[in-house]
Amino acid sequence: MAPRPAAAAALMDELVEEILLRIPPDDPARLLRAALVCKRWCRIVSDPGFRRRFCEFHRKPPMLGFVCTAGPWCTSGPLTSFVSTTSFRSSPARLDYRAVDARHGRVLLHGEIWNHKRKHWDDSLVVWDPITGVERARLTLPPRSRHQEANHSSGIWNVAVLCASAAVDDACDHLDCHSGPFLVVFVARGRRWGRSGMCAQVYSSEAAAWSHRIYGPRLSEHIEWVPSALAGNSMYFLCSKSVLKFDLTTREMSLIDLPQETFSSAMLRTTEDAVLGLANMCSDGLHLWSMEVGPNEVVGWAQSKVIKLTELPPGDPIDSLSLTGFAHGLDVILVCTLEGIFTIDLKSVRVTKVCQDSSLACFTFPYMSFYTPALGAAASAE
Amino acid sequence: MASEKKVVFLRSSDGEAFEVSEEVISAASVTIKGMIDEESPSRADTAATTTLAIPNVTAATLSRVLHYVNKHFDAAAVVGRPDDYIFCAPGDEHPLARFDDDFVDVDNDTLIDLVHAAEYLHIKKLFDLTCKAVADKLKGRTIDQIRETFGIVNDYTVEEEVEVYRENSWAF
Repeated sequence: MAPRPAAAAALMDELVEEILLRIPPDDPARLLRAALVCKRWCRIVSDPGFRRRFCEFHRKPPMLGFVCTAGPWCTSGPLTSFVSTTSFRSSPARLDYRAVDARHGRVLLHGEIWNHKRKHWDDSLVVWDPITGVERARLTLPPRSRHQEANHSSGIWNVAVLCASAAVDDACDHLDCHSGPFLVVFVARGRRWGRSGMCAQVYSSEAAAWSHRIYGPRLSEHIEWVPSALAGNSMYFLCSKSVLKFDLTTREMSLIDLPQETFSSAMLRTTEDAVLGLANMCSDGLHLWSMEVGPNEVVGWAQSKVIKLTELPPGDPIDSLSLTGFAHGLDVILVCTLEGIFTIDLKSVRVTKVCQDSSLACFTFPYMSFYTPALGAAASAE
Repeated sequence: MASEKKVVFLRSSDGEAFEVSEEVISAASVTIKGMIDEESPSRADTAATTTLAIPNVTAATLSRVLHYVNKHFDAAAVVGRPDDYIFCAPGDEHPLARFDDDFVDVDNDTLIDLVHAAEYLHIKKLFDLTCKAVADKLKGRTIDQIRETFGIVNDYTVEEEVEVYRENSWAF
């Protein structure tokens, strides 16, 4: 019998596409290698239609890795790193900038630049895409004014980046919006009429400008420099004893008291139903809370779960373990211990070591996005 | 009308006929359901069983497909919630997940034949399963290994290959 041609070589384009669509999104190298097998496969994978179908097929962007900034005690090496938790490797970042947020396929970095004209340091923000390595935008934080406290140091402000459609219900599924318009929400403790209070400004990439200053409730506590959370149409920023809510639609701010047990130790999370939640470490395990809105819009917190962390390295959890980040939509929390950085899947309670170096993480900003190869040159070289 | 189960015969490309319950195969295969619906007016009042020609599928593949179909679509044989099975990870307790793992544990050509058959017969669950299994075969393989496994000829020139490797060195 004559040897028949290999069945795979005879696969029609549509079937090759169906097969490559089913490569798990958390193994980007496999998809890239498949694209480089031959020009036909490359053309299929590089097609914009393939990317759209890949996102729709898998629905949930995987966590490709996280961005983290070394703690102040760490004096050598780059300030900020992209730590991969998959086969993906990012393009080099602005390693001299610190990571301050990541959401909807964008990373927000912060650095200070000497302003020769005005003879002071400007706070510069960079919106960075780890997949392409491209700086999407560079903007300067609203100038420090007499309304605000003397400097932008820790405890005074926080900032978040998000898809511009997040302010509108269901306008975007955020599967592949990383190159679209974005907002940066800046909240700071300022002074108005002699009293401490919250103020906010929103940068819109479409307008290429900051909004006017929005004044919110009086507050004398610190804004914690920890990762913020998007739930519904609001951004939430953690303060020492409360959560600052910024409604993206009405652009109004309000404060929600924290449960006393979580003061200065909470990490913001979102539940599966996209409701704001909290996590904090106690001696008996990881406590999870979710926000509940009662009658008359009174907001309270319900403790939903206590997770015992038996798989983590031994040692007093409270002393040696800190919560550093949360992968929204995946229900995965990142913790830093003396042994390194771990992810904890809150559903399966599976603990995975993702980084050996524990000196890296003050805070970790998980990066969730779909990767599909953009091999324009190779695909068209026929 | 007789209440006994109707059967149809499927004739493979190499001439072998296979018996299958009409109800089961109609639930599984959109293509065959269409063929049966087309045939039905002419055989409504005859006792003759229908034989359908499946010209694109060999006997070896068709018998595997029917094994799958009987396991998944015969209500009497299905245990648990069959629609959930594709979301079962290996090692899950779902009885059909184990069956599926074994079912696709075959050589490449057999698997690709199953992809073609599932596509032609329009059996969505089987198509999902077999395409996923081919994608799994790419796991951890180098580009050369993938080419070898699937008999694909490298049509990049040396210069193009150097360029592509340089730009995407992280994947190798």
